[in-house]
Amino acid sequence: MQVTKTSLRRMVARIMVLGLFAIIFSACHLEMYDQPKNNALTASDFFSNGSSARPLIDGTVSRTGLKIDARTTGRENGDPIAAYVTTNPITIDEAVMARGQARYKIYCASCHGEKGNGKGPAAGPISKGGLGLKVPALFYVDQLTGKAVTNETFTLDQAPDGYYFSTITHGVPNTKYDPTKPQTADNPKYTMFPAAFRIQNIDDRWAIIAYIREMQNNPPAQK
Amino acid sequence: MAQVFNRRTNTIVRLGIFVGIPVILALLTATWWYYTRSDWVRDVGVAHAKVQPAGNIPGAGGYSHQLHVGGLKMDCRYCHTGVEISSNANIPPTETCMGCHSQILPKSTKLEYIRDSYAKDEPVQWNKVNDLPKFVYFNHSIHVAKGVGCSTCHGNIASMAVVYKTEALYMSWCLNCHRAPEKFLRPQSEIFNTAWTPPADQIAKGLQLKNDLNIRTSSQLTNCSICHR
Repeated sequence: MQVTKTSLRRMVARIMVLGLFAIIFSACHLEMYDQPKNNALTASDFFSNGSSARPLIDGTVSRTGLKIDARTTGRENGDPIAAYVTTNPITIDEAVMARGQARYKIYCASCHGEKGNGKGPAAGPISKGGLGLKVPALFYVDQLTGKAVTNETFTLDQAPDGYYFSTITHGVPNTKYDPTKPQTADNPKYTMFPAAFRIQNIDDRWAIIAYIREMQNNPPAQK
Repeated sequence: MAQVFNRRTNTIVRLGIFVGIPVILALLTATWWYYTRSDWVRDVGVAHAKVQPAGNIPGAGGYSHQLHVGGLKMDCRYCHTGVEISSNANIPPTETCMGCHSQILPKSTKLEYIRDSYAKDEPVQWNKVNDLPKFVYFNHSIHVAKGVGCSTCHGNIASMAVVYKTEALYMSWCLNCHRAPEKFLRPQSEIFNTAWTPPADQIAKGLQLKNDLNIRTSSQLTNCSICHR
């Protein structure tokens, strides 16, 4: 076969055009990688606070919290001004106790200590290896010092179960908090922040309380 | 009529066939591998310092997993509350930070952005380290419930001052495990242990776990609609 310069040029041109087509039609499909939809926690410039998720309207109750009773409020019959319940409204068995222990270790032990002695890694003065957090309340009479920790109305080992539930859910409000000033280090709103948004499952909170009670009744060996 | 090609052309053609074509093929393969298979194109091991929140605010520190998880032994679930119950592991709201930092280091300039966020009620903009394509419906809770630990995908987070990717998360990598989960499964007590290493008899233990946890067969686990919907 005889190859002339013209036909060679044509061949090269054809190959180049084919290559161009190959590049154009083999797209990278990146538009499906980043679809115009909002997943959880996606930022959005549509709303003023930059978040695509909308905050809950005040007074929203979770589906597990619809029923207003002792289990969901920690107070007798769910009445907000009634006394704290003194017994745990859920049935406690070994599984619940194990669940309570596991949840306690996740959410409480950093400050209150794995053994409930208030000696978690975050607690205690910096000179003693803590992080300067004021020693969190002990859950039972300290085996080492013999001192019982008190708050305003009762020692914590005597506090009703409902009090613990209220504390986990609503935190411990700072009695000296001044709402007219901004919340700063000198004017904190809480001495213990509410944990309800982290320990979302109401039965988990009661399981933790059951475990705290167990630690109070049978204090774990200290060291 | 004169010859179209002179004698030297033979050498050029031979060079083209035996050197040029292999080089072009190698370049094409390398390009393809770089963009679809390599760790580099997905920034594996690149510390995301500058994209951490407040990383671009002078004097502010980024969040350190090494300090909180490695040093203080905090559990993953203290902040990532959704990991057992939801597809999304959850990034903590500012209140979680303030729970401790309203009293610990309450005046540190490194934490100014946390206090700002709390005072203004504006979320801290955390940056995604692993960003899956939107057509992948990954669910954290099922993996955690069925014996896949955090560090299998995220590496030893407790050792990272600044978080980086340890896996490129290619589909072929996902399939490694979906085809043979027994190589990676661990007991429930070790899921949140970031330093877990497989035991010597991992395959035997993994097969036992696969049986105990009722994990589906590999042909079911590699069905397209397991991940793509």
